[in-house]
Amino acid sequence: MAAIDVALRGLTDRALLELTRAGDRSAIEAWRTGYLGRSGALSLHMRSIGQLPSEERPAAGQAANAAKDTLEAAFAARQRELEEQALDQRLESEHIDVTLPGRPIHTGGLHPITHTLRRILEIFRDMGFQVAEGPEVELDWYNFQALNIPPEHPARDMWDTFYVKPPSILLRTHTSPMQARIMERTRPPVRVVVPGRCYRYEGQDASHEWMFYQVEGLAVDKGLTMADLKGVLVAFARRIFWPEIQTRFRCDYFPFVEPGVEMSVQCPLCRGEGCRVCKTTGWIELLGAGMVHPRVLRNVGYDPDVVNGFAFGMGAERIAMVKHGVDDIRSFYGNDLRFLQQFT
Amino acid sequence: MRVPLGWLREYIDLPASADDIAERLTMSGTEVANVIRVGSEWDRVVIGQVQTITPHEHADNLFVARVNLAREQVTLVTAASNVRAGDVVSVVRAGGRLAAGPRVEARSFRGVQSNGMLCSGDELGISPEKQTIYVLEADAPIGANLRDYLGDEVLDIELTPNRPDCLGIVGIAREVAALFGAELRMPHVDQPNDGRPAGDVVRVFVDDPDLCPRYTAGYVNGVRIVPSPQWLQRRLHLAGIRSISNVVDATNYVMLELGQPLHAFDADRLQARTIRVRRARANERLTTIDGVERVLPTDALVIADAETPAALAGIMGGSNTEISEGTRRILLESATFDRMSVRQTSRALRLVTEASKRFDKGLDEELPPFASRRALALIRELAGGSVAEGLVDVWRPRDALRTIAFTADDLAALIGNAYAAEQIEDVLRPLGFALERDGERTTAIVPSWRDDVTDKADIAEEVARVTGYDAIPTTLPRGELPSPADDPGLRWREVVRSALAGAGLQEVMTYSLIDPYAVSKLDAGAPFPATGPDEGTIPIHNPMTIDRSRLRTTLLPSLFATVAANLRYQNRVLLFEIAHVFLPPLEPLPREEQRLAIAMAGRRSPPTWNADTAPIDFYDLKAAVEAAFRILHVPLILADAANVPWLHPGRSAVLRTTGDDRELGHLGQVHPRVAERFEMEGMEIYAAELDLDALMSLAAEEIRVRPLLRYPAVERDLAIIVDGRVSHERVAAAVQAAAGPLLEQITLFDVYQGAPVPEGHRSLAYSLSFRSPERTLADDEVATAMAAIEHAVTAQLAAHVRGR
Ligand SMILES: [Zn+2]
Repeated sequence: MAAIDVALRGLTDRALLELTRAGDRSAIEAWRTGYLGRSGALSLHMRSIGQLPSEERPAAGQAANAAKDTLEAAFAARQRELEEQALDQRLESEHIDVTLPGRPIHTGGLHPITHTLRRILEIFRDMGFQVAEGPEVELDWYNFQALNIPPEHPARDMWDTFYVKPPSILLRTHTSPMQARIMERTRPPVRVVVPGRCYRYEGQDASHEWMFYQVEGLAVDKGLTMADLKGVLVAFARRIFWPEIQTRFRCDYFPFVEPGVEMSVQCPLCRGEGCRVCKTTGWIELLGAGMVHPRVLRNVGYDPDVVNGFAFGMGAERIAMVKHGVDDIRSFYGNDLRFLQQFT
Repeated sequence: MRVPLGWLREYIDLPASADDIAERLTMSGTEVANVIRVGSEWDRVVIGQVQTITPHEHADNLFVARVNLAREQVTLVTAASNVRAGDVVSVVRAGGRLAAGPRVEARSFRGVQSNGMLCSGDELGISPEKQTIYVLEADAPIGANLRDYLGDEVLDIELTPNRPDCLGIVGIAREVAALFGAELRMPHVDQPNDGRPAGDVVRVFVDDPDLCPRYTAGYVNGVRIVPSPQWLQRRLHLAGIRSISNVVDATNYVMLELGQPLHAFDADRLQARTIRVRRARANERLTTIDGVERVLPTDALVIADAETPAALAGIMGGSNTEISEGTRRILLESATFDRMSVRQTSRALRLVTEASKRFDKGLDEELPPFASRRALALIRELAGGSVAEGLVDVWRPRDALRTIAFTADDLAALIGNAYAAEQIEDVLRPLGFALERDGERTTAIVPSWRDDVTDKADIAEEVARVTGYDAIPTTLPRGELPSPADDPGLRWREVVRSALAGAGLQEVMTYSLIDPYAVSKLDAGAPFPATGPDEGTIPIHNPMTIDRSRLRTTLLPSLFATVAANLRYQNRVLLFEIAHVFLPPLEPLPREEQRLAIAMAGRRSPPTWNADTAPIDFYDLKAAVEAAFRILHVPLILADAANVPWLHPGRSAVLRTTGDDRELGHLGQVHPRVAERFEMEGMEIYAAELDLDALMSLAAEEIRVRPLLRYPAVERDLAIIVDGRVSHERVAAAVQAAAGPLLEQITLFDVYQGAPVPEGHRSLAYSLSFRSPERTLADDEVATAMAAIEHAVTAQLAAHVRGR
């Protein structure tokens, strides 16, 4: 082997060895200058080829060019290798604590009674009921008399009443006054639900509140029956609770319906097993209902021989309580954010 | 009402267990709230007879009794001093007990072994006596299990006000008979007639028959007033009535049995043995048997003698004519009073009694003579004496009984279930209806005690409830749906609610009633505490508390109270409420308006490691209000508000929209004095209240989209230095007007005060985006617009552009 080949081989080997030792960007740049630069070792070597006899020059030149390609490729590979190491190091150093809390999105929330009312109304809307609202300060006529509860009627004891101006102006004790208001301004068929605030002159305890939300329902049409009332209420219970829930209907008395109905459902808290809330009966009284009393129909100019109606009324708080396990009705209007924010 | 089954059994052979009877009664409308079981927990409680009773040798106050239990004898120690040899008593033997809990153990009292315990009536639940040992009837079976002798079950019934006929045990028996197909046995009535005719002895005048449709008087001469026998006392106790004396107990017994209240007067204390039923005279007084002297309301109906009131009709007797130990002759009243009159008087005097609870529901006019004869027989049995013949009966018999004609199809059409004619009869006859069939048509004659049954619907209910509502199928209404009549306000309100919750606010619901000083607390300039109640709020006539005695005209006081209460637990409170306010005058109803109120206080973010810890300021509030406007597509315009009394004068604004003069509401920082009055001192509170009805009426129902522009925008930044009192809105409006339609968007990105901006001035930095819908803008077009802007702000606002 010619001396020049030996020299090139020695240069190449040394260069490749040094390159593996060059550990950072400046070291490999220095390496590049030292071997591949204009006055680097390889350039010097190339210049020395000119002193060779002319027949040896082409082979030596080829060998030098091949060595240059090798070194350049090695440089590129080493450079890439170092970049990747550097990236790995940087990423390693950028480690964060993923268990720190997320940056808060400032969501608020709706009151649980709003959630409950929306759910109730949605279910009845799906069954073709419209939604209407009415005044909270009412006339005795609509709150009582039009509903077949004349003055001094013993049934008035069922609704302890706040008066604004006795005997004619009061805070409505239920949303039922809207029955008469709606029937006065529409002709059958009627299918409507009425949510709203109601008031009763009643002391507060864990299950009694003097202000509450009620949802009233009313349907009037030819041919409506108590079986239809049962069907609508069962459908409601199945959707607001769960599809297989058991329901129970018993006779009850409300002066503006006849026959009168009370619907109980399987206790949603214990699923009928019996618990403190259902007093171990497994049943929860959910709502009052019935067929609209013929006198109520006559009071608004409907003919009870032509149309029938049914009506129902339920307390939104009671439904929210059994759905969510709220054991004190005063929680709703106490407005402690620690309670309310659990519903968001 | 309490119905002991041992008593109910007098009128019906019980067809089922107490629980089954309770269940069927409840399902059919007579709600049994509870079944009370007397003796169910008794264990080793037996009847014994005291053989000897002697003082304990080593203990004062204790006695040693030897008690015969038939097959054996026990010795026990007792502290009660009323026991005598020969008394028949109840004994809990060692190891037994009266109720769930610890058992009675054999133990030694100072050297004497006691193998049981004697029981008081209260411990047994059969009498109110706590201090004495209960002494049973002498003929009680010695050695027998006490439960077999005295155990009972009591139905605790919550009656609905339409069924006064069930205010007597016979009424409940009639229900049970109808429900189970059992036979009702009416109590036997045989008036003893061993005296002169009642009409010869007493005189009755009903001056006000409108309030007293029927008055009957019976008379007994020669009674002896003594305690009632034990069986009677026990029955009354189980039914919840205190035993008084034989005659009074007899009247109460018949009231509980038949539902007809009765009253016995000491006839010798009635002047001229005369009863006059009349309205009270002005300032007339009566001391009732509860010892209270009462001034009688002028419309109150009284039972007077020839001169003075002797009883409040249907409510309570007077002490002047009360039965006492010395009473020998009694006048027995059995009457029907107008339910409204009883109700009014009872309420006016705040006096509710067993009698008034029955009369105010309206009682059967046919009942008084029957009840009277029943009571007279009982009184004679218990108190002796001779009963006058017949009754004085002042009554104008009413019209014939009500009839209701119906067909089985009528019932099916209302109930949605077919009932056979026999089924209908099997329900109605046991309930006392007489039925006449004429082909398809049935005429029901309504019994006198069922005044609640007036319509075919009532007949339908009787049939449906007795056969059970569970038998009715469930169907869905098939008729056409009402024509849609959507109320956009209801939808918009929910949209606003959701938008505000999404904007970070928590919805609350506060009481509609406020205290009479709450609104004046909102006036920072008004004296505090206020000198008098608010004039502008409508008072509640019968408030429960002063705190809740006015209808609110603003949501703010309740919202502020909620903020204050929550600030005790957290340092960040962002709330809103949507509710009605009630605005005077009453014509006849107040105007109800839906308001939206917002209150914000504390840090912008919940406290966490990487939060924006800056406190909430005006612009957080404004953004929340904007969220409500934006969701309704109503442009929001704010202007400085003058003189909003609850707001910081420098940080308050009035809410409007474009092209409308109406003030929709106000927002700003709550005046520190107002904040302090609502116990929110030391924090900046931001709040808004607005007329949500008015805002929703402006909501844009339909949104029209603009086409997206294809040509590129040209962006320029511009800082304008202007007097600090010139609002951003004015500057932006001037810029927009000068630039014309090519200026597509103007965004404020910095507000700066301080050097090098001159004192009293500020620098408003805008980024402007120019765009043409038709072409790519040339630089000189934008330059022309920028020049126009600069000229306009310089000329109109005495401003200059920074960097020039
Ligand atoms: Zn339960």
